[in-house]
Amino acid sequence: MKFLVVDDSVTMRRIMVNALQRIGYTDAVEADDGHDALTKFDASIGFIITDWNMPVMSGLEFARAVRATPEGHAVPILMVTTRGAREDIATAVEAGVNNYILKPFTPSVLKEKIDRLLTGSVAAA
Amino acid sequence: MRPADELLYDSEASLRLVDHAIEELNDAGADLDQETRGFLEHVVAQPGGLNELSRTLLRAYAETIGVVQRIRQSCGMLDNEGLDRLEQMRGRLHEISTATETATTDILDTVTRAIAIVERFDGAAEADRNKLVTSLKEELNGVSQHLQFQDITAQQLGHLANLIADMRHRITHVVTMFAQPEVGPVTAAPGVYDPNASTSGSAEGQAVADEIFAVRVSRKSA
Repeated sequence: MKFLVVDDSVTMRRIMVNALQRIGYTDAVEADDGHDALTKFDASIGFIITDWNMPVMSGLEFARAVRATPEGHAVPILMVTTRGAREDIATAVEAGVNNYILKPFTPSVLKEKIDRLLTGSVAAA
Repeated sequence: MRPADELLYDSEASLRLVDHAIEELNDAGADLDQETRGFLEHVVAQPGGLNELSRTLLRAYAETIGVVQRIRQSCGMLDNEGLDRLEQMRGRLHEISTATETATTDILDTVTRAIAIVERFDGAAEADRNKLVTSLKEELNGVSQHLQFQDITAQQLGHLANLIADMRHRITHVVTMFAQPEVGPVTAAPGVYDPNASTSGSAEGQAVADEIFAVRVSRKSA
């Protein structure tokens, strides 16, 4: 399973990639904004973890752009962000995000959300 | 300092008094002897004389109104909204300071507990060693959570930079009312931050997110 980890913070990308490695996912591609992530997204990506607030292209715009591609229709998208307002979460749902984690998070929460998305169908999650 | 409205009122009253005095002087002219009347006519008619006084005072009054209006505008620019921005900046700085301190002390506590676990490891029985390893993993996993303060405080600093740019814009605007500013144009920080980013309260937000996604799952399943 290849992960695409999108965040403008190097620290956050490092934390997420390290957490992924600890739970057994060693194949991860990093991108520092939505635009960079779009250039790195292809059919080999099996899971996307993205921040919301990023320069150039936000995580929300990135999620919409991915959903508009044939290979991005069903890929799980997990948003990891500081935006905890109910309307923000609803907007993320509309953009095609499959689940949501509020920063700061624990590695166990990250694992639980990934497991839930991978074991259930993405459409149902 | 006297209020602007009071100054304007007094200026208008003074102008009316001057106008009235000039009219009285004209009326009184008929009762004066030839020499005195000639002197007064000279005083009134000469360049810079009383005939021009009224116009000069009106020009001064118009300029005074302009200055008072600019002072009013400048007060408006720095009023409640400006003070609110300053208060937000103070609050942000306090949050950043607290988040940094909390993360540092949490990491320090974690390291201390991890060292204590490692020290117990050497003398521990085989069965206890597995528990100690599990505890050590949990402690070290916690560090990655504490280190996320960097991303959150970066967003708080982004918000702070934007508030400072806004205050600079307001102050520059006030300066331009009175003089040509020597500062360059104001550029706001790019809006890539969450103004509400916080190291606390994520549990409540996560509960809301989980609730929304749970509802979504149940609707999809139905």
